[in-house]
This record gives sequence, structure tokens and C-alpha cells, in this order.
Amino acid sequence: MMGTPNGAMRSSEGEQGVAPHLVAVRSLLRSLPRCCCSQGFEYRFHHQLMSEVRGTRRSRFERTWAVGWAGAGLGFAAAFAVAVVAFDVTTRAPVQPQMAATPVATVPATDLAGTETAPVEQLSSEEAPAQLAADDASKAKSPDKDSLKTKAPTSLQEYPSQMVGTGSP
Amino acid sequence: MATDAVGVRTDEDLILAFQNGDVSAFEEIVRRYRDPLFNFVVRLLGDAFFSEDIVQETFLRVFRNRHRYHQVAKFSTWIYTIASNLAKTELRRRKVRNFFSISSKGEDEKDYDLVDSSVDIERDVDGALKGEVILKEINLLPYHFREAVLLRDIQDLSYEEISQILNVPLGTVKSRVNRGRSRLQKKLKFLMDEEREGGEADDGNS
Repeated sequence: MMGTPNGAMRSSEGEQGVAPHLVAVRSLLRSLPRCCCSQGFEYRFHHQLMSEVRGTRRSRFERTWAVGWAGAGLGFAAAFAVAVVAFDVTTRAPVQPQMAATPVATVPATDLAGTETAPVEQLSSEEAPAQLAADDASKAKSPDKDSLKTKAPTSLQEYPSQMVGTGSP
Repeated sequence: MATDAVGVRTDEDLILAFQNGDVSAFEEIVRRYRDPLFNFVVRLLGDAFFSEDIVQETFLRVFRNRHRYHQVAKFSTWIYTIASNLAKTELRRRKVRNFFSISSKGEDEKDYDLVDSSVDIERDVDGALKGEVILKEINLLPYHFREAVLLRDIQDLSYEEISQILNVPLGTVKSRVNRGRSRLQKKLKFLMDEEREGGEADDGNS
């Protein structure tokens, strides 16, 4: 029994309005011997409590490490940003227009069916700009010539052989 | 803090002191509640080994969550709620795992200490046997009835406190306690009759 003002094991309060046979059960239960913890309870509890305290410390230590790693990551990110701004490090290289002035060799042109057609003519460096300008002019004149999207069905019917690339019928 | 001053302090004073960093107050709480909690849990689970574990876990939770206690409820209510929830969880786990404990006691075994209240061996043996029978019947009660009866009749808590611990209305607590007692009365009627007869015989002899 506890000698405390509101300890868990206090003296019994009276049971009012309860049948006598049930009160007898209550007194029978109250007559049961009290169980006590074993001798090693305090030692084991102390041990557990110590490991609890150590565990709390370890978790704090781990948290410190996590914060450290996050700081290092942020530091690297900041250094990279500074490097980009200060040294003008760009990740995109400017795209230079490239034009092959002189083809090294003639490539035999083949159509889709594999039939060899006339080889591509060798262009000299003087001819190349003029040839390109002529190509552009022809594209500008008939911009929809090669476009299947914009080609009218009637025009498709007109040149069926050109579509399959088998040459003239 | 003086040791003798700790003895007269209420549980609420102790937990308040512990919240303010007084470790000796926590030690006093452990001393006060160690046996009552064990007494409650061991009768709820019927297993001394696991009951001690649960009592230890209860105190560890009090230690960990000391700042969560607010003086709106009594400390005893709070700590019994923790112990009751842990016991419930343990029982649920046992059901799932189809638990068999090697430390579960048989008829003749007991691994927890009983308070030596008498030197009369015959009476001790009688009392121990009677206690075994009563405990067996308590363990056969449905869990809700068992818990309510134990808190009321063995732990001597008030109906209001039990209502808070179990988180059920006051009427439900009273109903559970009465139904639990009725079931026990049917099972233990022969014990009560024996006691009554014994008492009458003693009166006649004297």
C-alpha cells in the first residue's frame, strides 16, 4: 500500500448501490496477494534507461552529421554558382554554321529502291554559294512542293511514280 | 531536495519536479508505481516476464514524454493509460503471432514474489490455492471486463479514473465492472460459500 495522498493503491472507496453478492466478489478480489516486481527489475530498468539516454545522444550526433553534410552540399552549390558568374563558364557552346565547301569524293546517289542514279556533281568552292542561292530561290518559289502535308490529293494522283521513287513509268 | 520531503509530495508534484529536471522525482515515481503497475499488468496478461517488460516500457515512455503531461488529468490516470495501452498492444501481438510463452506459469509455478503477509503455512497454502483459482477465472473473463474489474477491485481506482483510462463513458465502466463481477460470482460461488462456512464455524467454536 502506498502512503501517498493520491497514490495508485489507495484505501477502498465504498461501493454503494451494488448487490451484496457482487460486493462479496469485490472483497474476494481484494483479498488476493499483491504481486511485486522481481529483484532484478531496478537493475534492468536502469540499464534500459541508460541505453535510452545514450540513444538520444547518438541521434543528436547523427543529426549533427546530417546537418554537416547538408552544409557541405550547399557550399559546393554556392561555389559552382560563383564560378559560373565570375569566370563566365557556360555549359552551352555557340553553334557555328558549317558548310562543306568541297566534297572530298563523289557519293553515288541511290534512290529508295536501291537503283543507282546519277552521282552528285562535285562542286567547287566558287560554285557552292551560287548553287545554294539557286536552291533557296527555288524553295522560295515553290515552298509546298515537297511537303506531303500541304500537297493536294490531286497533285498526289498526278505523280504516283515520284512518290515510290521508281522513276518514270 | 530532501529525501523525506519527496515522500509526502503528490504524484503531480513529482512529475512537475521531473519536468523541471529533478531526476530524483522520477526515481520516486518509479518506486511508487512499480509494484501497482506490475500487479495490474501481470493479472491482465498472466505472464510475469512480459509484464515486467511492459512496466519498464511504461516508465520509459513517461521518461521520454514527460513534457506531454499536463495537469488536466491525474498522473495516476496518465500512467495507467500508458500501461493499459501497452498491455493491449501486447495482447494483440500475441493474437497475431499465436503466442506461446515459455515463461507462462503452470498450476504449480510462479516466478513473481508474493508479499509475505502471514506465518501460518496452512493458511498460506490455502490462500495461494484460492488465489490461483481466482486468477484463473479472472483470466477467463473477456478482456474489457477483466480490465475494468482489475482497475476497480484490485487497483482500487475510482470509476471516473477508470473511465478516463479506458476512454469510455462512466456508465460503460460501471456496466463492465458489474458484468465482470457477476461472471466471477457464478464461477467463484463455491469459494465464497466455503469462506462463509469457515467463518461461521470459527464463530461457533469461539
